[in-house]
Amino acid sequence: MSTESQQIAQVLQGDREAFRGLVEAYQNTVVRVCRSILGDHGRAEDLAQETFVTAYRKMDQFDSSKGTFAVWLFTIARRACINASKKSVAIPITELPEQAGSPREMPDQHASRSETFQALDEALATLSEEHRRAFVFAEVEELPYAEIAQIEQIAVGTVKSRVSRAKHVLQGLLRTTFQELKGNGP
Amino acid sequence: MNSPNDPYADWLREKREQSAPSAFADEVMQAIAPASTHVSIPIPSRRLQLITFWAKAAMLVLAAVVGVGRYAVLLFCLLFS
Repeated sequence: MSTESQQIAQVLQGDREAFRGLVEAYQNTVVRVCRSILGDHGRAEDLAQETFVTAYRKMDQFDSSKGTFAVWLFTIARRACINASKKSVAIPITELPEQAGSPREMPDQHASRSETFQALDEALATLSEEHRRAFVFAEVEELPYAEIAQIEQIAVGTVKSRVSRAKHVLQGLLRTTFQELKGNGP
Repeated sequence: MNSPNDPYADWLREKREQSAPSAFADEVMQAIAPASTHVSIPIPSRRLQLITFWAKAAMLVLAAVVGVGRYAVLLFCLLFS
């Protein structure tokens, strides 16, 4: 029996302190996922906390034959992020992601690394939530496509297409940035 | 796009290195802690105190007027002690 399975069994037997091990093992990942999906760090941390509290309360519903604990936890986090987005005021996206990366918005030739990162963060924020989640799970957390399909309850092919689309948009933005810098260069 | 000095790869690496706040696990453990089992004795409201006071006074007056002193006092003790 793995440590994780032991911890889950202990939690189910009423050992609350055993849950700390699970929180410590997954806290960085869950916080990262919520931050990347929502952007708002404060709210993302609240949602990550909510994810763990829900997981603790519903631990008896976890079925290891259906998937790993990580997949189950990410499914809860995903649902929490979707619910939070529904509650928050929707910001209409009037531009397509490609248009968001138009040269007028690109950092100038003295653009710092942080400005490039900020531009990429902004581009990530312009993606649809579905594409953003797929990208975060695949590229940031490096989860296998099959697990992402399980979390999102969609076909593996759809996951691949969403990730590919998101990467295309982000890398396209980056290419435009470099072309712009080259054009402005000496 | 995947060379070591690639900004896209750097950006991804930075995202992967982000971590939860140091007190995160403590906060979660606090959130799942059972509510306190301490039972406090409710303090009667001012209104209830006034009602009780006037009820006692009325009983004493009634007992004196009716002239069944000892029974009234017994009833008073039974009801309000």
